Amino acid sequence: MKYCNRELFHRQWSILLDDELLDAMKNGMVVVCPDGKPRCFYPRIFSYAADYPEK
Amino acid sequence: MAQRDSLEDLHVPVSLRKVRRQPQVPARFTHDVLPEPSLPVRRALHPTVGQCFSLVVLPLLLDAISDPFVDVLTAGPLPEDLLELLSSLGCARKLVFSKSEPNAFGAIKTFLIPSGSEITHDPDKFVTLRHLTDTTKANPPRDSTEQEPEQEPEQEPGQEPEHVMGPFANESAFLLADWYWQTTNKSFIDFQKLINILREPRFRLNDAIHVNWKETFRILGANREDVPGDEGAWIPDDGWRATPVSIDIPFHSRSKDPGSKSFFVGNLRHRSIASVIKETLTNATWSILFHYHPYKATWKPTSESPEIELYGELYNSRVFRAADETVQRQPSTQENEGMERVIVSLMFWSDATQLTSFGGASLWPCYLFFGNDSKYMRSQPSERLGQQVAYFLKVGNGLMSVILVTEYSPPFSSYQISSATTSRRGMVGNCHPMPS
Repeated sequence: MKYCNRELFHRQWSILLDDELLDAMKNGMVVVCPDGKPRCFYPRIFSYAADYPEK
Repeated sequence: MAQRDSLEDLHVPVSLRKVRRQPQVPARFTHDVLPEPSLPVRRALHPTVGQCFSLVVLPLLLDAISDPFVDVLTAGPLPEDLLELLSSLGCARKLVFSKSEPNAFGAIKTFLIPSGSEITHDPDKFVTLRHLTDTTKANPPRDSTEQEPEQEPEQEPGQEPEHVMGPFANESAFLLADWYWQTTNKSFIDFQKLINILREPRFRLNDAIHVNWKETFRILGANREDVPGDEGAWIPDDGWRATPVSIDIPFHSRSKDPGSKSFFVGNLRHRSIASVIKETLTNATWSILFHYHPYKATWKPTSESPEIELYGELYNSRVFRAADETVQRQPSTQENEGMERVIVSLMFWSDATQLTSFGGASLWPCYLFFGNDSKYMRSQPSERLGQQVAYFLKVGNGLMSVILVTEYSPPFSSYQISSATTSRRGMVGNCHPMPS
């Protein structure tokens, strides 16, 4: 049960952190802001507050 | 002998009478090298050795600088003369400090930006009393579904005007639909609003009655990929996806079917995080309050007193500044030549919630907030700065039953099965083999 929970949790996060996001984290993604200026954005995960399935 | 020693001892002070034996320290203590801080790299950059240093260490440093995942906190900031050397080689960008004037409280913001650039956006200028309070008087009710289509022309100036109304063909239809979706239980005030819509000089009855309402409302709630053709072009984000999730479970050699088996758990409902970020950045309301650059906030009570660093927001923090500095120092590429570089700070929250007082209905949502927004805005639900990213799946009782029933062979006693799932013994009760 513990193993399944962990596997499932990590599998789901690996879906969420997809290649598009990882590429943006490494090389940046260019977005045209509402003020008309294109900016290069680099996402970073700063905090993560969540419950983790122990059992 | 001992007596003579003791007599001689009487003439010397007590503290010096006995020579203490030097304690024998184990060899590992005597040969241990104590940790000490690494020498600053600046010393190695002597004019004569600078060349060899750069030849040997430069490739490594360049890798470190261009790698965004290098932890700047542990590595420490790079010395100035090394950075000058790198910037002269075109490998890193030179950054300069840009200080703001003290505000009413005497707090100063210090930005670290590439030389030659300037701060183009100050979100604090746009903060009004409405943003900082949550009273109904200062904060008139607003609805994002109503506002978002109206903001569309600001977002993308080149966009065609029909996208302003979302899936609706004309303004009359949009106003009516907006009135319909605003509230669930219609009140007299809503009725008055309806009358006001009908009174609008731009309202045309012909526009409103020749609308396939059922189909339009279906498109209104659909994901972009579900809508055929160009009809979904007005939808700003990629919407929700359902990705099937399977997990591999290994079974030991004595089980009925040993080896690793893949089990389907369910469909993970989630949104693309990159799409959520894009949607937030292109939204005019949200991006006004979005802090593109971190800064160091300092305060001097008097002109003579030393500067005190102020803490409070994520975009004032050292971690954010360090991450920003790494990105700013990176050499330009073809894609981001001449653009501002901005760190988007993602903050994830998730907590499983019980949906009902009775029964086991529960959800496990995952929220995404942006650290570039002020915490005073983020913490107000009315600002709608939190985004739902995913609803996590849990390993349900059904899956465990399937695993146990299909994979555990009859020779296993009920004791062994229940010990395999001690935490949920009651759950697999119906899977136990009958005691013989």
